[in-house]
Amino acid sequence: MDHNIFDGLLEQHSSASEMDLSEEDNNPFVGTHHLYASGIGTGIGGALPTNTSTNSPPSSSSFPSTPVHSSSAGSSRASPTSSTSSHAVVEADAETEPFVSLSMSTTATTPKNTPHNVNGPELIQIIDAGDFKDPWGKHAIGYVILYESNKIIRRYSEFHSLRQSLARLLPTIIIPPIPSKHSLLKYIWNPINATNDSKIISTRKKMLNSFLCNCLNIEEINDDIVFQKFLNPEFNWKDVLSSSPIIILPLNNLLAPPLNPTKPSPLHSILPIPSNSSLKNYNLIWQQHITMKSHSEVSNLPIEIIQNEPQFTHIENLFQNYKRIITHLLKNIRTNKSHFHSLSTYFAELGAYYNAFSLENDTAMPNGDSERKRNFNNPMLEIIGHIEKIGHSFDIIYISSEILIEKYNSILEDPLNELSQFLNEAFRVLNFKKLKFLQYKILEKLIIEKETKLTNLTEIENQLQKINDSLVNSTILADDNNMTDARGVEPNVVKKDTRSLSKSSTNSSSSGHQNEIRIGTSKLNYKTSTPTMNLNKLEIKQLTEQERSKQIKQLKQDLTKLKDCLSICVSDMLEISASSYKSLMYAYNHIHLTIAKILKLFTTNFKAWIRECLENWKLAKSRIDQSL
Amino acid sequence: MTDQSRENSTTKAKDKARGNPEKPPYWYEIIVSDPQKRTGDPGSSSGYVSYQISTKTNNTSFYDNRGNSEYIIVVHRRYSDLLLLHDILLNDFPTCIIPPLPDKKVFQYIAGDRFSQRFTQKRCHSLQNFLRRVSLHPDLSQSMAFKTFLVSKDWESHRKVLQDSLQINKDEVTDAFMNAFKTVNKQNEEFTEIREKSDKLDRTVTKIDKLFHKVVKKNDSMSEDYTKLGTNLQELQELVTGENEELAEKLKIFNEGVTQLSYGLQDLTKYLDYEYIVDLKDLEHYIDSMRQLIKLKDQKQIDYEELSDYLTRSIKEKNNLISGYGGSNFFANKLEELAGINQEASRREKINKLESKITSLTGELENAKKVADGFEQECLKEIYHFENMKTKEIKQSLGSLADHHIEFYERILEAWEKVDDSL
Repeated sequence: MDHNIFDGLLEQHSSASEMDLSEEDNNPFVGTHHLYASGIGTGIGGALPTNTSTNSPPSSSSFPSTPVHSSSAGSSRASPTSSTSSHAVVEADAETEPFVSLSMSTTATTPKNTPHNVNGPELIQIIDAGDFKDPWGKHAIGYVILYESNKIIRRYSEFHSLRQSLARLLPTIIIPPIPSKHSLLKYIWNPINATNDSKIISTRKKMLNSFLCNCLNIEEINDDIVFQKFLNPEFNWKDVLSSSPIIILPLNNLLAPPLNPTKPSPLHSILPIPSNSSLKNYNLIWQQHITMKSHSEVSNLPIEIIQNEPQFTHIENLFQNYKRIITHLLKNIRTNKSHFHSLSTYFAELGAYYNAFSLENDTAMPNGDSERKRNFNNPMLEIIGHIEKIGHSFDIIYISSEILIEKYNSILEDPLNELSQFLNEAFRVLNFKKLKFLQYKILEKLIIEKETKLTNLTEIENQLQKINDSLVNSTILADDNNMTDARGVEPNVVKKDTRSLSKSSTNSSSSGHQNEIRIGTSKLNYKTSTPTMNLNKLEIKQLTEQERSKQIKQLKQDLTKLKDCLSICVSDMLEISASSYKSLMYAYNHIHLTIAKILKLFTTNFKAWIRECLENWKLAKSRIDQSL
Repeated sequence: MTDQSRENSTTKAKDKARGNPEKPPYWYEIIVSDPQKRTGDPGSSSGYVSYQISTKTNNTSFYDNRGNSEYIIVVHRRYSDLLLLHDILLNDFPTCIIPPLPDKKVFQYIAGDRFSQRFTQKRCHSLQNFLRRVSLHPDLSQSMAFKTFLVSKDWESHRKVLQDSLQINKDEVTDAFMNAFKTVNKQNEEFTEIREKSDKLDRTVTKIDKLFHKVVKKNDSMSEDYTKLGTNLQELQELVTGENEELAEKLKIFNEGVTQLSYGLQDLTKYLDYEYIVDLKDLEHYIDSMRQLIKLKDQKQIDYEELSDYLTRSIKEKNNLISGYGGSNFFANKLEELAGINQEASRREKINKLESKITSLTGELENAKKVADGFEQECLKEIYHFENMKTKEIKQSLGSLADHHIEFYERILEAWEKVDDSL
């Protein structure tokens, strides 16, 4: 029988995992994050296996879908030499092993090519984009990446999945954005052109190029095996996606070490998952945590986490403001673009009318003899050239304006969109950090609860002991007379106990469950949880001696595990704090650099436009002045 | 006979007109500026706008020998004063193309924004165009009314007199438009061409005018966009200050460029709206005035043609009477015979009557012909003047259009050069 360490928590967790199972039934590695039973049994200090093929789910009864695999994996673990007998293990090994060695070889070859690295931005480039046939014979738009003199063709969807995988592999790193998918609406409006539109392709080409460059600049991404494989033409991306480390990733990054999600400790998988909706209370909970120093023993977060928090808050506020302004800017630029566009259309019309104007005067007198024509038209003839010149000016301004408007896309909108996506990514990383803290708070809450319970139990135990002791003393002193009195007390207690035994066991588990949910949701529920604890106190008194001692034992056991979890959580927090801060600072600098770049780029282009218009008007003016 | 002689005479007149185009003997520099709202007479409810009219000229009579061309004559007039001047000129110079005044803009009166800067500035420019056109006209510029208008310190009393004189003649003027729907039978080829040309010009100018209206509107929204953009950038700059001073400085500089752009665009738009479009509108109106004149000329010609018709009919009738019973008069003659009237005597009497009528008609016809021919000559002279003026105006306004664009682009180029250097 499995012991129920966390009361409701475990129940909730296993129900969640069952849901996971139902979602990905066919995945043999889905049991990865259910290691707690065996993991806790063996202890946390145990050396962690390199990949999941060795992580055997412990209780086959709770995972009906994976019994075969778990047993075979277990046997292979027991006797590695006889692993050939197990089909599943061979498969798993075949999938994982070669990649490890290959990725090692690719990383080993990179240093040889270091001379190329000097060029920086030209290290990687998308040199072409166009129709190609993938290995399955399907036509698609492929993007040809030139990297270290290799040509790799990847599709947009492959970039997309790469990004998603990276986000899961590196939860503390801001993954550079790629252009967003086509909106469904666009597809409905323009179903044929949507994917083949050369405009979209060229935009994507540029943005994907910038994505790759950004990735190379971030060492965590650059060093990642999956990213390396993406840039290696020898790998079929579909295969990469369906092999480790991607498929052994935990479904939730909160249940794995933040810097190494594919290698979770057994304790990680039993960590509680705070809901995303609890994020909005983060600031409140954090403030409470800082101000309430009461439970000194448990809630001692490392000083650096508390010290770093203001910096994170500052960055988050700053980024949120950036995001808001960028959204405004984008909206503004879009309206300006449309205004500019209609203005340039008017220029085109003006050009046409001025030109017609000049022609009209030229041919106004078709019948007259030439001398008469010259005589009569003399004044107008003189200015035909001027009118035409003005018309020409408007024509040229129309053209150069259209070119500038075209450039608005690439010099303003795309980079700003990219920035906005970057900021969203930063919020993802920040949220991950917050969730980790909330996770910590849940654990802390549980520990406090358990500790109270334990103290209550031991108190009662002590009291009963005292009563017993006094009883024993009295029997010795007062013989049989007092015996009856004492008996009168004892049965009463037993009677009460039996009455409420079944009730209390269900109550305690369900109340624990409820507590766990409440912690995450709101401040109000923090308070409501205290009366239930008082109730527990009463219930505790009604337990039998055996049950009490059993509970005390279990509580102590749970507490050690919970504290282990807490310490893991704290170390995770430290890792997240350091790593995400680094990444956020990278983003911080990147954003500032990008803004400066956008300003410069716009200025250059805009200046060129002004100069062209100016020269054009000057030319027209000089022509007008000439004939004066 | 008549056709040939007319042709000859007109060509002569034309040659004369074109050979030495008359130029006004003096030059005038007239500036209409500083529109100011004045409260009206205590009795009237609403005020009016007074414009300052400054004149510089080499016509010494303007100064009453009290100064020279360095001296600037300044008077204040309101729109209705200019309207009066216009009407007087129209009355006194029926054969001239009187430059048009801007519309009365009744709507603006109702909407109540006739004191708005946009409205008065535009009107200012249009009024100046009017006065300049008058001053450049050889005949109009020498009229007393023009001089009085520009110089008189005692305009109020003059106005009364002028208004009265106008009242008397008003009927005659309107008479000319009575048979506006009659068309000339024998239109001079040259006028057909002039008409076609002016129609075309009118259409083009109208179209360009409309387009510029749209451009002005768009420019306004563009400039508004830039202002908004500036606000956004300002906000961003404030955020970045303290984070990245270098970037904050860059944003500040960039924002200055945007602000300059916004201002520059506003100025350009103002020029387009207040001056260029007004010029175009005035040109359209000028074309209209020219058409009016042609219509008047046609009127004179119609008069002549009708007379000539009448004369031909009379001569024909006379001839019929002389040659005996005209087929058409058979029944009438029979009737008279039955009534016992002496046919021979009455016929002779009729012939006599007709003869005297023909003589007087011939005289009148010659008169009408003289008038029509004279009018046509004047008209051609005017049209020639108009063509010159129009060309000059188009040239000038195109030049100033180019100038303002150059100014705009130079200004923002300078601003953005600075931005580029600092980034």
